[in-house]
Amino acid sequence: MNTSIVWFRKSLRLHDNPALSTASEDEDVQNILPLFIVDPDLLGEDYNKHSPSRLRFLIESLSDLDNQLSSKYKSGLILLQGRTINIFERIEQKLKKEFCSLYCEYSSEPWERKKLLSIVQLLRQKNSNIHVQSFGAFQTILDIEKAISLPDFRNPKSMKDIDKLFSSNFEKNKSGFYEIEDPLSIPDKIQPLPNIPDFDLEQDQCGFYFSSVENLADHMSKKIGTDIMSVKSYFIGGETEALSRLKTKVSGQVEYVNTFRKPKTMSTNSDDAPMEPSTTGLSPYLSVGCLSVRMLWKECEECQTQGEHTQPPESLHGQMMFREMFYLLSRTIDRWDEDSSNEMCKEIKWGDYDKKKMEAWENGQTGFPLIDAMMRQLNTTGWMHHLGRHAVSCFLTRGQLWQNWKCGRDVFDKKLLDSDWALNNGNWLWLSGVAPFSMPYFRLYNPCPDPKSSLNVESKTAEFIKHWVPELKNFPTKYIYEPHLAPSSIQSDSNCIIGQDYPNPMVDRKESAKQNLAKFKSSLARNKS
Amino acid sequence: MIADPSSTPTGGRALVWFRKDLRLADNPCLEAALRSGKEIIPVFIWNKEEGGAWSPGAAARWWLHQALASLGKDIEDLGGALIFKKGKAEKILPQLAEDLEVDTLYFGRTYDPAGRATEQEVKTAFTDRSVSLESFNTSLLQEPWEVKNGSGRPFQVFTPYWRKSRSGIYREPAKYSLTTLSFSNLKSDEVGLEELELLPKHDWHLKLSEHWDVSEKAAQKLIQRTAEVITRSYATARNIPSKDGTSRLSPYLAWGLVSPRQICQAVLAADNEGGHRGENKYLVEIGWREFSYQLLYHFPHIADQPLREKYSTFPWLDDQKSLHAWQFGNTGYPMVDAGMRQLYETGWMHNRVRMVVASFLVKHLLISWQDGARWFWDTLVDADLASNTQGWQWAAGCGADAAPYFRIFNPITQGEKFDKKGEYARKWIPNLKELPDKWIFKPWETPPDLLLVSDVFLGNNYPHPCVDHKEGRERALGALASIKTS
Repeated sequence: MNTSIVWFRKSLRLHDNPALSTASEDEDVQNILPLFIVDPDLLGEDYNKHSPSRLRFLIESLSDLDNQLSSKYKSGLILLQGRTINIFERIEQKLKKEFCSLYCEYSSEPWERKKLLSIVQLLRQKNSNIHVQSFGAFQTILDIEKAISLPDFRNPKSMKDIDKLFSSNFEKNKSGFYEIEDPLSIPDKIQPLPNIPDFDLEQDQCGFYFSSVENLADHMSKKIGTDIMSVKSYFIGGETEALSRLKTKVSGQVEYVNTFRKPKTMSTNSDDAPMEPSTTGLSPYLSVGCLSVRMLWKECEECQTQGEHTQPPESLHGQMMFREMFYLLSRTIDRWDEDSSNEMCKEIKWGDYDKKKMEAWENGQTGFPLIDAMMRQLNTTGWMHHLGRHAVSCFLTRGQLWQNWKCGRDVFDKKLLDSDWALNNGNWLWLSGVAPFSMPYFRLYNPCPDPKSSLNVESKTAEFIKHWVPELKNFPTKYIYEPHLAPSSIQSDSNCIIGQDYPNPMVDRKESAKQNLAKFKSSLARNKS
Repeated sequence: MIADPSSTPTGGRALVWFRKDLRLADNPCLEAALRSGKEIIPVFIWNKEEGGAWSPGAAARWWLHQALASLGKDIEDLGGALIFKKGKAEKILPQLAEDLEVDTLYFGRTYDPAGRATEQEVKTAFTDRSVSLESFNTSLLQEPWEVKNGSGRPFQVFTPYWRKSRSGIYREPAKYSLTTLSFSNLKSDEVGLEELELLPKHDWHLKLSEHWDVSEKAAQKLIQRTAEVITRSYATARNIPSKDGTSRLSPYLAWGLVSPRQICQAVLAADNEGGHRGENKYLVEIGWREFSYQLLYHFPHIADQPLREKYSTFPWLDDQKSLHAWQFGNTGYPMVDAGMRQLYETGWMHNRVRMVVASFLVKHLLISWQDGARWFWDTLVDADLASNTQGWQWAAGCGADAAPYFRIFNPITQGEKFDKKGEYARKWIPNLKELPDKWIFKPWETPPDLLLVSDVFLGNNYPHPCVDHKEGRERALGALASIKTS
């Protein structure tokens, strides 16, 4: 029986899934084995590369995918743990000549590209007829490999550049929208599961076959010593949840979509719900691919066809185009995640790693309520508004703490539900001021913003701060962003003595900013000479 | 059926023997019959053996079959009946002349060795008979013996040849109304068209009908299109294989569904209207056809032997595997393969690509031009011994006015230059359609990630190059050196 493997990598969904659709339409294929690999290179041998919230989100997404495969097709997700190459070697040994094709998404990260190529090499050595196809426009709107091979491709550094790239890749229709293909619908049926062989994965190499997603979750919980499913969370993983969020936030929300201006959105979340983003909150679903970015693009377009609408860079399409830009750059720039010999990174002589500073920042104990609220939100929900990310990254790097952006990047990577190598590095390069596409480095965010700040903080009720920094819940809003300036009588009336119940500011924000700007400037001067 | 003498027309009867002039308009044989008031008995004779090694190939026979069906129908519409016969003309024609009581035999001359031999046989067979024989030039602007160089010898260089013979383009087609032709509907022991067994046994030819409308009417439409549209941008558009920028008249010319005089007249008339009087690039191609005919006429051995003798010792390889890869478009060079697949699918290939595939065979693969000519002969609906021979000897550098052997077409840059967007390559090699323009003509150099997302699996759904361009090139130059020094 000819068996095709549909390998789910970063796209845990059935809708707009070219790999699944192609396999289901392939007449040579009699069985489909939907595969997910828990690769210790990605999660860590003890699953310690991701925070428990991130693991939970992944488990929920896998569980939803498995449920859908079972209910729609009486199939199921096969969960194997081990190094990807070993897994494929084992599958090939077990299926032998029955293994006819591998369909998967293209993943642009250097190690993922290498991984797929070595799989192809391995499989073809064993059986020269195995058909391997990866699909380019899967995690992105552009087909990255094809886009970068266009004759007029140059590395995009602005919305203008990325727009030009879009016009090289897509025609525009009469209404002025790029002609981007419609997302694929969910296949009506797929070929059944093959008889699952005993994979005999070697446990000393982390090899494992999980009979269910719960089984994997238990295994993870035991390893990290925390029950993953009982950690606090706000976003629930899975395609079902993604599509439902898409519906409430975007589809048919014509006014919301058409007036969307990213820089105008509140960084301190919705007024009445401190957990609910003022933006779409769809990024976590994009990063594990529970939602197709093409689907999101089209839903926005659908609203935009109904009247006047905002434009890139501020519009929702603009946000998605920045996402494409980072994907492209991460593909073409060597050492995209490094702070030296990286074309997109000015070399700055950052301060040595300072454990105390890093811990205060990471745990939300800096004494700056906005920074702390943001970081605590991250710790609990795995998410933060983009302007919050502006604030905390500026604070950590060129603003106050003079720590290397890579340190912040690593914290984000571990904790953000929407963490994505291309985007996370791109954002840190941007926000730390080192990239050609950064704002001028000397423009700093005040970590103690007033209502006029472009960080768009809510100051009237300060619900957001009071929710995440409950130490300050009785504090008058007048002092909420800079509580140490409150007279001691107010501090005691508010049951929060600064320096005792809530930390004093860990640095003098003005003094540190002044020193850091000077250091940044001298690093730049050194680079030039 | 024997003719009823009582019905013998007063002007007499003539046999018109159709050969490579399967048309009713501008047909000097028909015109002669008309002028002398003779009733016309049209006949076509198929002799599979006649051409010997160069008996029409599969594609040409398919074309011939369609052309005869169409001609038969056109004659029938005029009240006549085209007689099909199978066998040797020198046996059949005298018998027919006797049975049908004809006094004259009209036929158009052909210029290939086999056709000329047949004509001799026919003439001999009629020596003692009271039937007069008249032959005409039905397929060229100038007779091959009409144009000679200063020392009375045939030209071997095109430009002076054309300078001297170019006036032929002004020769006017015969003017008569088809309805004035008087066709006899007399029959003989004829065979049906199907019984000529022209159609190849295997069903390869079935797909050809999707691409061609084989009839004199269709040819006339193509002439108009050529005159009014094609020649306007011919100088550039003819080099772009993805465009329909050539006349596509070649198969009609090969079997004489049109005459070169008709083409020239239409093109010149359109030129005059457009004020373009002057050297018309398209007519130069008609000139090359004439040039090829005069070469084959004067050097009849060149269908098999190189015109330039020293090439007879050229060290060609006997490489059946590569020949097969070339024939079926599996060389791994998309420009070559697209051309060969277009040929195999449609019985025709764009001229620019013919040069590329021919050069690739004789240079990169070091396979003899005769092997290439043989494949073309079998697969081209426009297969014509004079043009095919000349084309291949030109490509191999061993013919008259040929491209020098050391000039080796680069199959990659030819694609990049003449099929910039890869449209032609993608059309004929759908497996490459996802490959970006940058790599379409060199899939083996494509980054592996891109191959995977483009679903190109080299060695599986598209071949690896069968020879390295540089190595092939150097090997070819080495082979050339070997005959220069010997």
